[in-house]
Amino acid sequence: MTRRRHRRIFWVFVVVLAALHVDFFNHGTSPPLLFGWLPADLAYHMAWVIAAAALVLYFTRYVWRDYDGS
Amino acid sequence: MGPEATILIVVVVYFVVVLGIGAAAFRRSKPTAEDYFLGGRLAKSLVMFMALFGTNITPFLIMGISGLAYHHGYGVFGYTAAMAALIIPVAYYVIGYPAWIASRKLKAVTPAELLARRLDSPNLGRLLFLVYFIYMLPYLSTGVAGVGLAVDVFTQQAISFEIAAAGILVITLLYTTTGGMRATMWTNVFQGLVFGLFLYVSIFVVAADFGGISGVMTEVAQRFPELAATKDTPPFTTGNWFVWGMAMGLVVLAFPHLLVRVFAAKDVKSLKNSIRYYPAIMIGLMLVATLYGVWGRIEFPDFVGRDSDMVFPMVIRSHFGPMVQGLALAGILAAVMSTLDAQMLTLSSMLTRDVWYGLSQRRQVVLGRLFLVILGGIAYYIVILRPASIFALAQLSFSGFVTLTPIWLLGLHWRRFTAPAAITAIVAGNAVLVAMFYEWLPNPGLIPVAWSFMAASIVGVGVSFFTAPPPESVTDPVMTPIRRAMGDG
Repeated sequence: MTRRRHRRIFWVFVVVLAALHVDFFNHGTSPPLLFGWLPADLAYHMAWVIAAAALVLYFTRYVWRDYDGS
Repeated sequence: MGPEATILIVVVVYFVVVLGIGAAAFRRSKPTAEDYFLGGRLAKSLVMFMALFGTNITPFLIMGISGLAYHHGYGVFGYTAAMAALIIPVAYYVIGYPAWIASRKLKAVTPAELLARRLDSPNLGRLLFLVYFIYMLPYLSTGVAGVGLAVDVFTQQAISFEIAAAGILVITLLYTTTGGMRATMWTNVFQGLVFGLFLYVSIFVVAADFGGISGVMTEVAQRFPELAATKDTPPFTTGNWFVWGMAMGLVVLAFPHLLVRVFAAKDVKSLKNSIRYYPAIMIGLMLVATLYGVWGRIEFPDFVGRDSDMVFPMVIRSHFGPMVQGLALAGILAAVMSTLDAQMLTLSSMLTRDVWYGLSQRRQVVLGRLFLVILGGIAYYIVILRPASIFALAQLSFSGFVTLTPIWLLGLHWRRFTAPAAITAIVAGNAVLVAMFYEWLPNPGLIPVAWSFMAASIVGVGVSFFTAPPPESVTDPVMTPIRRAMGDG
């Protein structure tokens, strides 16, 4: 896959994750406790961060070139 | 020996180690401005990572976020931290990477110098220094105030808030004015390790005391159910949630002291490696800070307003002996010093290179050191006033820095961007920000930084079309390599 295509994929996921960050569907409710103790809203954002960290690894591997601009 | 004496001994030992590292760095430094301010541009991956990590961990993170979480619950993690995991790396790519290339091409040492040369306008550099100076002061004061509060709590008023605040400023000035950037980066490796490890380990110990993580979270849910639910009310309204999340990500490279760390990178690989694991580790610490704030509510349910800034040291004091309390205090001192030093050094370098320039290299360093002392005095005065909570002061400061982001994006990616456009965008953005903060303008929703960011962007683009662009001889040497590096050319 070309770097240009990797770059497009990366930016699509950036937009998707940014949209998913705004979890208005959790707002105004009393979210259930997962496993009886973990607030679902907190779990949602922890999962979001893990997805973001994975995207960052992908981005540094396939999108960002090792080029010093010379 | 009393507990306060043990705490003080641990802290003194810690200071001796930090000053020793600073002295070692000083012995290896050369008497040039580039070495003093950028460590000779030789920062490799680990040092870069720890420098960024240490510089970005502040009392805002541990005491400000925990203080906010104390009142508003687990939602503070999503509100203040989560988005940064993605936006910080993106900002490194779209701002940090091209800025690093430009700093080499233009031989720029400071952020203000870089934009002033890129747009061929010394006045732009002077204006940037002024704006950075204004917004840095409240941020500096959050760090020093955090230390004052922590020392006050841990020593049970044996050392007062005022003396602790003065002490941290003097020690930071001592090693920063002697060692320069090399010293701050070396000490950051040590300080970042101390602080990060302490936070990650301590939260598990606190949880164990409460009967395990599930035990403490169940108790919070039963006693304070409102802390487990994110509501569509301030500060968590949907629009603010998105805007503040973006701002928390963008602000990192809007800080001049962070951007200058990027300039110090040895190569692209160091830059990339430093950002690869940074979000996960950094955001993990923000989660820990949130948990400290929410869980602290169980033991200390009566804090009102900015008093919740004390929840982290109070929890530590109730769960650990004096030795660990000393380490915790050292951790907070580490966080503050590793940020203070970078903030002070960066501002002083901008003064000598962007405002009062034309001096010999040796005089630049001398003037920079003199400025640091004056800056420390002003910061101390603000700290003693203590006008607001740590989070509120940081929010004002961060909003000011983020308002500059459009200037960086346009300056590093758009050849047509002009110096008059940059200057008017800075003025317009900050005018809107101040008017919103003081409620001189009606706010149609969203926090002020959203409007100041938009104002700066619109003015920056609009004025560029009505003013003459910089000559190609100025833009080409910078913009062509940036386009090539970004894969656009």
